[in-house]
Amino acid sequence: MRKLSKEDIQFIDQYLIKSDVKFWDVRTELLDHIILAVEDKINNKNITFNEALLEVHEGFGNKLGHFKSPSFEQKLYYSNKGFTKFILQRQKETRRKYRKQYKETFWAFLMSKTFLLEFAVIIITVFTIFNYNQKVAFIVAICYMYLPEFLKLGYLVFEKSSRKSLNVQIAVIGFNVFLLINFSFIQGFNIYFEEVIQKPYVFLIIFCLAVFPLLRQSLNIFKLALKKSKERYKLLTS
Amino acid sequence: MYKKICIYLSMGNSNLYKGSLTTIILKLLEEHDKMYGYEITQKVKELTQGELKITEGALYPSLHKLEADGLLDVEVAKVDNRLRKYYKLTEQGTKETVSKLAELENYIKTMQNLVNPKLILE
Repeated sequence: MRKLSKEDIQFIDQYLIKSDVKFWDVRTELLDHIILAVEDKINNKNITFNEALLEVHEGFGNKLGHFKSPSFEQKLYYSNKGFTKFILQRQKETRRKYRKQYKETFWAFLMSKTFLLEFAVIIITVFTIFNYNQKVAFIVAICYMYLPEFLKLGYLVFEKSSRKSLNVQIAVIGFNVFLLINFSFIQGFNIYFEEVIQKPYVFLIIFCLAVFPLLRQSLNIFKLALKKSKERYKLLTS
Repeated sequence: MYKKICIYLSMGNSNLYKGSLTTIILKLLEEHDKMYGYEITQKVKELTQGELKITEGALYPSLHKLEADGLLDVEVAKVDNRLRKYYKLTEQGTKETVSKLAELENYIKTMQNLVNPKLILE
């Protein structure tokens, strides 16, 4: 049985990159499947590597185009519609998976001792500052609220495995709806109390503290995704 | 069971095929501890003697959907110096397989009664 050479495998990997499969975690799954399918076709259908790859390319829903005398590369890179659809569908399902995980673990996390302690410390800190300066207390509250998001960004910058990983990327942007709500609320507050000299910052503080558990839980989901991504990346590079 | 599904699917209606794909995947994973994508396509081809060929474009969306539904779990292993993604049933997936199979069997029986009441599939 003929196995693909290292050069053939590198060619397939480059072909996937050129076909806009940039996420490494998606590419590894596709790469394994394509290698197996091409090897199988070469051995059982007695066709060349190029012919086998074109057949697999079509199997993913990509078109080969209508050329008079097309070269192999013309056919191969004519359309990557199938891969684009594959990635979009994968993004959609990953988002759905994280939303499900988020909901399923939310109440247990909210009632956990560690979170209650963490939340109590934040509330005490904010309201202690509030007694001295309301505006500073609001700034501290908003910093706490966005802390999970800053941590995610930090992981994205420093963690190699998170770069170009579909799973991690979805875990970061999947819960951005909360950030939009926050932004709208603060904007609304500023517009409504534009003329007021002593703004009632207590509303904003309560809002920030109420949103904090939602963003904190999204950090948990992100960490889970990152942990899995790290494990796989380690396995890949070992 | 596979023979029944095969006859049912070879009717040439792609919508019927799409509707049964998840059940086929679940059934295969119920019988095998864990399987990878390509293995599933080959197993279906083998069991249906080439009658049913699952394309990559149809298989992976179903696998990803089942994973998102919590019916499948993923395990990654290094094989031949590359990563291979294995799919296996979760506890919820095992329960769902039983109900999906019963549902499909009932559907086949009902359709059989409607289309050709004299022919009994066994």
